Amino acid sequence: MIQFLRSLLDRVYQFLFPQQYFAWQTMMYLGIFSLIMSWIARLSGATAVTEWLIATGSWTFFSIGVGWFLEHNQVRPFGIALAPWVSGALVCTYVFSLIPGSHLSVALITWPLISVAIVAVPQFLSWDFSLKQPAPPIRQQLVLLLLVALLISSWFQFYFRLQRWLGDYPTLLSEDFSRSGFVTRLSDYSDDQARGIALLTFAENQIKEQLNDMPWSWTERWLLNRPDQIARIQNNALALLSESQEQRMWQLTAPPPRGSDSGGYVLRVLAIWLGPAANPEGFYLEKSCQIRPRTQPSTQTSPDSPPAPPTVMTTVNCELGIPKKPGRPEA
Amino acid sequence: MLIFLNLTDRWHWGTLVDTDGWDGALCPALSISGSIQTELRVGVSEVAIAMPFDLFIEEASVIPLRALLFQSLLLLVAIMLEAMVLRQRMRWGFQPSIKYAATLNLMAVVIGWIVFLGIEPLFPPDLRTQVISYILFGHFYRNPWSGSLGTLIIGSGLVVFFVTFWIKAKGLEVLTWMMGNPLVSATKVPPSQRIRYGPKRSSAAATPPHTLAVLHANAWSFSAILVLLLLRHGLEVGL
Repeated sequence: MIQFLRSLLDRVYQFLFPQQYFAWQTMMYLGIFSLIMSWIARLSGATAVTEWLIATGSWTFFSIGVGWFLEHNQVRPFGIALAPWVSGALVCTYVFSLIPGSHLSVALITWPLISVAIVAVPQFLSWDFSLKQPAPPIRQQLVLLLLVALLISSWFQFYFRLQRWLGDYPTLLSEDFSRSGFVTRLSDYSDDQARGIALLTFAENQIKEQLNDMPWSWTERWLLNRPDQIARIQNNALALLSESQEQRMWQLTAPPPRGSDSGGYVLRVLAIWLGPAANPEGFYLEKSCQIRPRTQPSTQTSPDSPPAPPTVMTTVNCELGIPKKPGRPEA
Repeated sequence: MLIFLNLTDRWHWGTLVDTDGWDGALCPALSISGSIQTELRVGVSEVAIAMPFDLFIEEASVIPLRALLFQSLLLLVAIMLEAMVLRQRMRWGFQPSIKYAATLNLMAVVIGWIVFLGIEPLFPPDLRTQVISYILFGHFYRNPWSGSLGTLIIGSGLVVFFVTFWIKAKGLEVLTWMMGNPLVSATKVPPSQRIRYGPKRSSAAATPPHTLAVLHANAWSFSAILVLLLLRHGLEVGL
């Protein structure tokens, strides 16, 4: 037991305190030391430049130390040298945390290139900072590495381009990507993300505002003049889509209303998606509203005057659900 | 925004949207009656804790994983085929042929990516949505561009073949020059041969062998890629 503890202690000691000073541990200690010093500098109220200088030193030491450790212990999963990539990631994290604002995309895109630069610079510079030419096999290796890094960087860039498309056309998120040859979706999707829902809800409110508690004759005239009214509503609704580029992608229509049993009409308002969709025929969203006449009991102003004819008012009730239907609506 | 995303898991939109329309749709807590509102408030504080992870998943949910895998597969096939052709025609060893083929193909792919990512923002919106449609759904959709897309694709395929060939031939010259044994000067026809076969043959022999080798290699890899793409398309239609 004691023997085991002693050997363990020995190993820990050797891990922490190497035989020579030219080792990765030295770099890590320098990094920790600079980190503590930068905190002391901050607490003692040194100028920002001093603090920045010391903190930069600590990040540099950490980057070199981690890279050295990985290279020294031959950490190579699948034969890939990890050291430059980890060092590159550390450098990127530091550099882009200095610049205010979110730079995740730029950081990820430049990360492979910085990693290659970390590999390449020692091949072109000798210890006394004079330029040297690497041997031909190393040159070929560097070219290959640079191309692989550029490819990975392009993939990251493609990922961010994809996000920009989905930001420009958020309705696409409500669609099924399983037939795509390029992308995979990790989370579930639902119809809720279609922006046409907001459009139809807006239209519903506008119709209610314009027709509810209005005389029935007014409503019938409105329904006769339906295309113009819907076009006006769509114009007003365009502001809802202003943060995306979907304004030209939605078309609001209302087919001729059907008569219902209660003497009123069923008005269907459709938002037709004109953009790309999983179904080659596209899709549309439908909101149906019931517009009914309602007889208002005439108010008797005075007992001796003859009763006024009852006024017929309008009530608008819309379905809550907004079903999504494939294809184009029948004309 | 996240509150809204989480709520949709529990209730359907229709129930949220019913009362006050657009404003209510975005901020359901405002338009829902008192008792539910307090319940929502509780829900909001729970949501706030889980927020960063949910947000990350929501934002990062669409990743180009298939493009990445398929491109790697196509690259491996192309590199293998081209290495075989280069080995046969240039009489190189096994390893140098693989390395040259890998470098040339990666160079072509990287230049292709740079060109695509560079010119994509310059596309007119209708063409851009067609590209998006193909990438997200695997087909084009009906819009003013759909008629001319077939010719556009076949034309750009031909252009891409010859541009790739040119890139690879030039790339091989630059690469061998960088490696210290340039191909171009080494493959000059000796004058004695010219005299022996007469002046007519010399013009045919002026095409350096490495250009021919790259042309053959490029033709092989493009055919293989085309076959793979058609196979995948057939599989997808069949499924």
